[in-house]
Amino acid sequence: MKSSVGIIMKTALKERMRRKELYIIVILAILLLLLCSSDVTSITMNGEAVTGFSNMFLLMHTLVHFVGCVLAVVLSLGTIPKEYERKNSHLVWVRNISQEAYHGGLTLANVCASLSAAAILYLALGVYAVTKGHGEVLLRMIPAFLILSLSISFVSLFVSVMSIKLPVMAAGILGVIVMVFGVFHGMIGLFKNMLGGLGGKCMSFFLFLVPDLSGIQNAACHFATGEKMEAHLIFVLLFSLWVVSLGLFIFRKKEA
Amino acid sequence: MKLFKIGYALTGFLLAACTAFTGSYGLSKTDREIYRRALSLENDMEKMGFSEFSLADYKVRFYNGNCDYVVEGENISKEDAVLDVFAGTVWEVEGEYQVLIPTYEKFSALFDMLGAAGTVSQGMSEGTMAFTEESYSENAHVATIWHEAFHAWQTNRWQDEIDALMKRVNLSAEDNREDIIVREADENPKAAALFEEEMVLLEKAYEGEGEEKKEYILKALSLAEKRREILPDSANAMEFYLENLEGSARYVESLAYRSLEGDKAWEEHYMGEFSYEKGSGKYYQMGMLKGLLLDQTGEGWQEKFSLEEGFDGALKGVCQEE
Amino acid sequence: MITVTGLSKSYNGKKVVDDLSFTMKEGKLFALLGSNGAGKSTTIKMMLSLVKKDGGRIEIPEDALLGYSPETPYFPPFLTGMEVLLYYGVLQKIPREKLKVECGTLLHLVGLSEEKTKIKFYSKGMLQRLALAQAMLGNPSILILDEPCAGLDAMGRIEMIELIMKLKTAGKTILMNSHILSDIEKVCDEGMIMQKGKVLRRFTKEDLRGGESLETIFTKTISGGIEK
Repeated sequence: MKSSVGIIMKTALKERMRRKELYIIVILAILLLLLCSSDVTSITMNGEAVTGFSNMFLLMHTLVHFVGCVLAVVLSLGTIPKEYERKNSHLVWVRNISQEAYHGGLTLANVCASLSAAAILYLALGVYAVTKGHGEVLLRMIPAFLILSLSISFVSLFVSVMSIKLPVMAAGILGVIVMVFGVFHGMIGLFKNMLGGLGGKCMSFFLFLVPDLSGIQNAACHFATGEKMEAHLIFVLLFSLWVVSLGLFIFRKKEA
Repeated sequence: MKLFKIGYALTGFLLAACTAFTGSYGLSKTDREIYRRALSLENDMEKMGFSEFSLADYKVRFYNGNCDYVVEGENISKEDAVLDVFAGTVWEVEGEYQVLIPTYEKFSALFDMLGAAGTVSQGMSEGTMAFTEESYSENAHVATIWHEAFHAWQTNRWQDEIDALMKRVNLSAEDNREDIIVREADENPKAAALFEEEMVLLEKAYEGEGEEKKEYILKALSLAEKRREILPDSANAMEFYLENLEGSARYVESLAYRSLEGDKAWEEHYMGEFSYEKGSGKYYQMGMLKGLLLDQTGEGWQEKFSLEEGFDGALKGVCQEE
Repeated sequence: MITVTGLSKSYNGKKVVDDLSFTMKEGKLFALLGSNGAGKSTTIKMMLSLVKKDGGRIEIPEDALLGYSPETPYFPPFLTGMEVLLYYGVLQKIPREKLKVECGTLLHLVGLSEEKTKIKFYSKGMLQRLALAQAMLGNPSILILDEPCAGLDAMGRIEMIELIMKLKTAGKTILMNSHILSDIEKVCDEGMIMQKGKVLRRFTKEDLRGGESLETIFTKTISGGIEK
């Protein structure tokens, strides 16, 4: 099973590399870098222009996380449905490759592609840090990225698993909802308390189900800047990844 | 495949265990520490002089978004939330007034979000984009507990007077106080200008000394009188309520903060430059400033402070004493 | 030998395969004929477990390896023919030492060995041949070919039929589905004509030697109705 999953993942990734998506992401990263390195004095924070490193780093980190999650949805949405649309699945199923292995390989490719996209964006952040004379954060940014990658992986995995059973549009919408609830977890948590009533209860329910991706983003940022970080959030996300990955075993296609 | 499934299940079990083990249950350490710190100010706050006012007399309910953790001394119990809203307030529970406050984490996040949103919207209307990173500290949360505890004390002492005041001007508990202030006071340009002038005079009084101080206070009081003449009764009642009840609570809060953070931080946090804003917030500042002026001019004013004369009456009395 | 008994399948309440039974003899080529929507492809997919059957039995020898060539094969366009075979060979768990040699042999057999071209530049005929090559990975004893000549020009069809004949001669058991009756006539040993999921008529090589062409048999059968 290992080699089947491996080659399915490798081939799916190769296909990704040849598509134009990667170039778009590189352009996004460059734009992000240009935005941050320009002297945009019309943005201030605490009375000082937001070209100051610590302010900008925080903003950029949040932006990278958000964009990374959006890309994870986009990159993960169509992979599995397309395999069945093209009937590529026929030649895999006839070779007694289990659905878990097949979908697992494709999902891993999605996750890798999403992480690669996020890494390019994160690299822009690193370049910014170096150009502003704060190269010391670079070393910490590597494990910080690993923490952030949990969040990106969750979104990618969730969308991939949903796309096994649901039509592409439905999986995409659900993926976006989960992503929004995750990325804005803290803010929605506050809002639901102000809302109250049935609306508040529905939001509470979704907030309970969706892990706190904004917390993970904060944890990664804190780690990169040398501040304290909570381990609990990371375990919650790892466990959520495990729970969602069960979908690879539970959701099955009836026909190839 | 069997080995894989076993490994997979074990991984899930391990992750679940780690998640459970690293989670915090009950009231967080931070909130417990905040409560402890609030209680530790009892001796300092007792010196203020408000008769029989003690934080220890009131239970504090920390609301975490799902339930209340009720703290009284060393005891902490978990109860259903009495109010599903993010606010520091006083609430009557089974016949007694209790302090209700969100947990530090929630309050801090709310504060940051509202502060940032407010600053961004204000900045955007000015053609710039601004953020505020002023974060809500633990000591600020301690001070908020004292603010709400003081409200509990006020409610116990003056509820009848408050009800009578509102009834006199045909206001009820359901009336939106913010609306009344904005509509009847803020949108009256003359009244707004008089308010600003009054604040300037009070600030000058605070900086001044001796006779100069009293002169400024008396001038400010006469402007306040002029305002009352041009505003409707409902606005006057509301302003009186806010300035004396919220203002005095802000005064107490600021003293608690000063005890913990020191004079410099206190000054930065509470004595910043005044700018007129619509709504009730400015009355907190005015009331607090009048309390500080009474500290400077009239020793033991807290003992005599009442809703009959309020801050203005007390200041007038002090200035006219000699 | 493959035995299919009472096979049935419905979609949205409509029977697309209805109580189908047939037997494929070892080393013979069995043809499935019928108009569009007759149930031929569904039958094939049920035999390959690509589609779940609603009823009936399919008996395939346990140790038999099946090779499948789809009607419209899709291969990753950025790969070469060799890379495609290697990909499916790894999926099929063919040992790596043997795999490359086998892939080379198969490509040579189908006439693609010189091609270092990527799939995206392949013609329809080349794709069909590659589809046949991947079906033969692992030397399966049973081949299921769904429209192997679809879209091929005259020369392409001739070459494909020659290839299929070679495979039959080599002892493969083949199930072939095609619209091109003249091609079927050249290679089949027996077959059946389907319509609306049912068997209209069965035929053997002897029937074809008897004077009537397959085209005539087909036309008569389709206009005549269900098998009595």
